[in-house]
Amino acid sequence: MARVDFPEIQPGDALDQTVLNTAATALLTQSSNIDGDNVRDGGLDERNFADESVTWRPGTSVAFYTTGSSAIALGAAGANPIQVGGAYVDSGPYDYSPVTRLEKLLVKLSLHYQGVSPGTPGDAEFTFQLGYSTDWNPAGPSGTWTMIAATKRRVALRGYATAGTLSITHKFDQTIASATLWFGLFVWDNNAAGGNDALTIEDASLYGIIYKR
Amino acid sequence: MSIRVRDATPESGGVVAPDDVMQSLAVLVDELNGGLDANNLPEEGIEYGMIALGAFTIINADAQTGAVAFGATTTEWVSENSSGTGINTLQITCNTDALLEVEWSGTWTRSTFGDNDALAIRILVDGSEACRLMRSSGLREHDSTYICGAVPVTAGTHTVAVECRQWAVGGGTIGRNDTFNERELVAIAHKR
Repeated sequence: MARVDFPEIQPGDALDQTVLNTAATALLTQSSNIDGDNVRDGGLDERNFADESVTWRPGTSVAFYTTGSSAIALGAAGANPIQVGGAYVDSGPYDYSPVTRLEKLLVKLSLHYQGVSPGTPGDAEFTFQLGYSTDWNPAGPSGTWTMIAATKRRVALRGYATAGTLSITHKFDQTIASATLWFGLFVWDNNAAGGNDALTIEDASLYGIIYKR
Repeated sequence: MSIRVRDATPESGGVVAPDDVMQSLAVLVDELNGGLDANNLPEEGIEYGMIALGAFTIINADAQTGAVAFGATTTEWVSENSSGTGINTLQITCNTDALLEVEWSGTWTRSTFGDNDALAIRILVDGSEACRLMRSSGLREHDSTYICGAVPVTAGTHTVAVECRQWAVGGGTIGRNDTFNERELVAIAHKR
């Protein structure tokens, strides 16, 4: 606690150099130790906090409102995130430092999908999964992606109405030492009997928030 | 500015009264010992390293990838199957009152699909329902969903759990097995 102890002066006592120096020393000693005990409850407001001192997210666009439609590769995730409207469904880079800054990172995704043409029974079955990369360069494109196991979601459209929504929430718990963390969406056809089915993805939104404190 | 130092300004040649000096210093000390506020600290002067961990947000999560199967007779809310395997549960400890935001997303497989059965899912906070979805689609062999809620909580340790049950939409017959696969429960305590 940065408590300032102050000499008590009684009537009749001398206000001399020693008393004043003692008071000044008490203030100087604790002036660099101010903590929560020195601040009135509820006394701080948003203007006291530096930008991004509590939460942080990338400044890049994270919504993909355009439509993407393509035949999805059979069996496994591709090398790069899926594209919607010609843009990769990715988000980053995140200045994420779980070791030195003890940050927590939540990543979330929502999207709308549509499989085969409405009214036409199909056998499409798709897997959605988030991945992360520490060296992703969408301009290349190049980068190594690691799938995040708990984010895998599977949707079967067999023979029924083929539109739907999909959302994922995930607390990223990988201990990495990187300032260039990216997230990306991967989608693949999971149905061996009828692979390479068409899938349309719309209104995808992928973002993360780093909670620093 | 919060600090109000007594206005005692000795003039040249005057006599300094000890009370004037000491009372002004006493006010200053009182403010420093718990009376500082936003006016005493510079704008944007507080950076993340100066803020205690968990001062604003506490986050906990339970991510699972192993399968947990529920039989066709799961007509009551349950958090774990007959083998004792649960869907998701976690505990989160708050040192102050907070708004606890809870989220769950996951995927599952159905043994029989194409009927009007639905899989119902809910999140409990300390045994009370925070949110629920009673009617997931009953048409798909594989499907997923997302559910979220928020409840105020007091200081202390709180248990967050996910439950499921079968739900017969429109009076249909319940009769299929559901197996949860990848899934995650996230709890975020917002303190300010």
